[in-house]
Amino acid sequence: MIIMLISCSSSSEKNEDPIDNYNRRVLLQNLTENIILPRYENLKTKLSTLNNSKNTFIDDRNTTNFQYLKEAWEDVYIAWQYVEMFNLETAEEIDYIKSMNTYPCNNTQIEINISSGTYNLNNDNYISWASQGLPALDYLFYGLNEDTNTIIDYYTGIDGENYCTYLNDVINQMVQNTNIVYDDWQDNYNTFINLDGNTATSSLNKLTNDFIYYYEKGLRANKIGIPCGRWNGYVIYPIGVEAFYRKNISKKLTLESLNGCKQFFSGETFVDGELETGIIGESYISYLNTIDDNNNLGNEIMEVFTNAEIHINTLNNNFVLQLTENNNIMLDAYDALQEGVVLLKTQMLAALNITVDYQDTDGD
Amino acid sequence: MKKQNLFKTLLLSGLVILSSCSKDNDPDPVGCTVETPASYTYLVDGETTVSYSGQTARLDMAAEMMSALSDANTTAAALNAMFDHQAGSEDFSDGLLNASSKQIKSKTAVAPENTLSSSEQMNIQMKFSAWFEDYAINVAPAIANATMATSGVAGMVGNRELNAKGMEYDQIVAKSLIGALCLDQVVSAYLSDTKIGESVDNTTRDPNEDNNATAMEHHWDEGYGYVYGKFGPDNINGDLEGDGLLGKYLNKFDDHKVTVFNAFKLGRQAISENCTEEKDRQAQIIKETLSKVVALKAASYLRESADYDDLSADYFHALSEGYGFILSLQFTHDANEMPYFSHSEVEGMLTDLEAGNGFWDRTDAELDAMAEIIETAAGL
Repeated sequence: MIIMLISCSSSSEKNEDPIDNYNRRVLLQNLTENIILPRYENLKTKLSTLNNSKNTFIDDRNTTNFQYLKEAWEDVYIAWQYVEMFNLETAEEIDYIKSMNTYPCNNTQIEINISSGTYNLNNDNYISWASQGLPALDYLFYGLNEDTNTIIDYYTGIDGENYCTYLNDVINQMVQNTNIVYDDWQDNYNTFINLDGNTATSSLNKLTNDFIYYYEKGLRANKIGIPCGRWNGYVIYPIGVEAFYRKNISKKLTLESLNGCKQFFSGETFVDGELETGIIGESYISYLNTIDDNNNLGNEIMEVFTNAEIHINTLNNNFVLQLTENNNIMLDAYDALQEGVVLLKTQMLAALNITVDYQDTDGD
Repeated sequence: MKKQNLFKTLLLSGLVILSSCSKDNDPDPVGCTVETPASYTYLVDGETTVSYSGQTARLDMAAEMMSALSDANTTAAALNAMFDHQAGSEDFSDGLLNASSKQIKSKTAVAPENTLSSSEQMNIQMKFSAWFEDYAINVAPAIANATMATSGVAGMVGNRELNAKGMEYDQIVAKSLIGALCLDQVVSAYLSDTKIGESVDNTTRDPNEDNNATAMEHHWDEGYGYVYGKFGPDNINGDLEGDGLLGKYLNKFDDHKVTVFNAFKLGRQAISENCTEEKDRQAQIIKETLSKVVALKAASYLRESADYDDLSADYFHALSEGYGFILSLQFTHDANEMPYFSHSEVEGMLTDLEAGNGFWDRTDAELDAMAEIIETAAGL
């Protein structure tokens, strides 16, 4: 009995390099053509509406136009949840993700930029990323004052032109960067699909790492773990909640983000609209099934996503309120997401024979 | 006792037995063989790739915290600052620790693969803060005034500094950190799949990063550091003399001491030679053996406290050590990769020890019974 106890590790004992005849190209093709490109197209559409609403508002700064502008921003924020995971190629080179969604934003720097009029949104440093993108718009639309009419006064008042200029520049930057990234995908997606090997620079290796990194950091840590104080002695950090100033969409954004992960994982073609479902194509689940028929890992991961969704659904629409009222159920949601990290990062990557290409940032 | 000898024999008989176990249909469970090196030395281009300075820093911080928990002038703020140290703040007597960005609290009870929920992890961290408060508010003044402890009153029994329940905080804190910091980080962080699993990079070397070790090698070294790091850098012979936490107690068992050091050496070599099976096997040996050490001490301190004169200084001291080792049991790891006791089971035992006026009220029979429960669960 004891012999067994000591010598058996219950972790999978299999050959170093499982013979894997799976055609990664087919998976890459579905992920690229039916998920990545349509998600970017959707984001571009939503951004274009935002850009038009912005122009309309700047021309005529009234309550109605401001309302349209804010709604357009929210639509972009939702579309963004489906794209943030693709931090590779051009997106990575131009720090696209950081410039689009670094939060909490630095409202002090934003005010300095507005009043001075001298700033360069292309600077590749944290303070620059924290003063633009979706979180900066959150501040500019909801954070200047409690009262909407007073906020509009900022755009019509003595410094109104400065506020409008900044609003214009921030949105233009988002549109411009999105176009750069999208055009690159358009031009090069065939090359991307054809890099179907298994080395650190092969497409599926990079894409899978980015997906898991996003699930671990972008979703689990940024949206829930950090606000919960998970790495800071459980001291809650409300200002770290996504869309902090808008307040009641933090749960929605988190659910959309998780949905984006789930659909990416299950190979579901992107279709815009809450009640829409896309065609299920080649996916990580089908790949995992080819490796070991008895292995239920793909479905197990889907169950973890569903369970996490159930936990997140129990939270207040406004995570800021949830944190102050009862941080414990936020932590439960964190735990539910964390189960996915273990399955994706250790079990799935091991099964697919892919190496983690990023370092943990949890201090050594 | 017969059982333990058998256990020892099996451990020492090494590879033959270990490799004989293959529970799946793998025809060739040991596709690679690795020799155990003479010392914990791993060179690339003639330079060592081993480093674990972060672990050394935390063990040094813990040592200063222990001293502060016998000091009449300590405040709760000072203790909390040592626990959640921020780089640059003057929390320690050692300037290098003050400059360090390492922190004990952020590594307490939070290893990614332990079985505790986040709320339970938070509960453990909050216990430390509550202990610091009680020490500073009730125990420290009693030491300053040389108050004699009685049931329900903090003070001294002999040279032991006790709270109102008879708990000696430097022991409680140190022995709790053995599980919540050292064991947890080894078992459920650095030697877990998250850090040394097949998906972890074992190829890339960068002379400017982690002493030119691969990510997987470095993780293993960091695990090593939580046991052997108090020595300082280059503890190539597994010297545990200066340690005050997990290593100190491992050092008390001649058999387990050899087993664990050999397993660390062989496992690290296996990583360098890319022998997955051997690495996994040695990791499992380390996890189970260190867990066993914690269970052995939890049970033996309970039995000792039952044997000592009732309400003597030795009794309170031993039971305080036992209390911390019991808390540590939830971070253990058995052959099925589960702790001997869950968080709530451990909470139940601690609540039982603290019932009424705590250690003042415990009977020898209660303590022996609890020891037996632990021995049974850990297969001692």
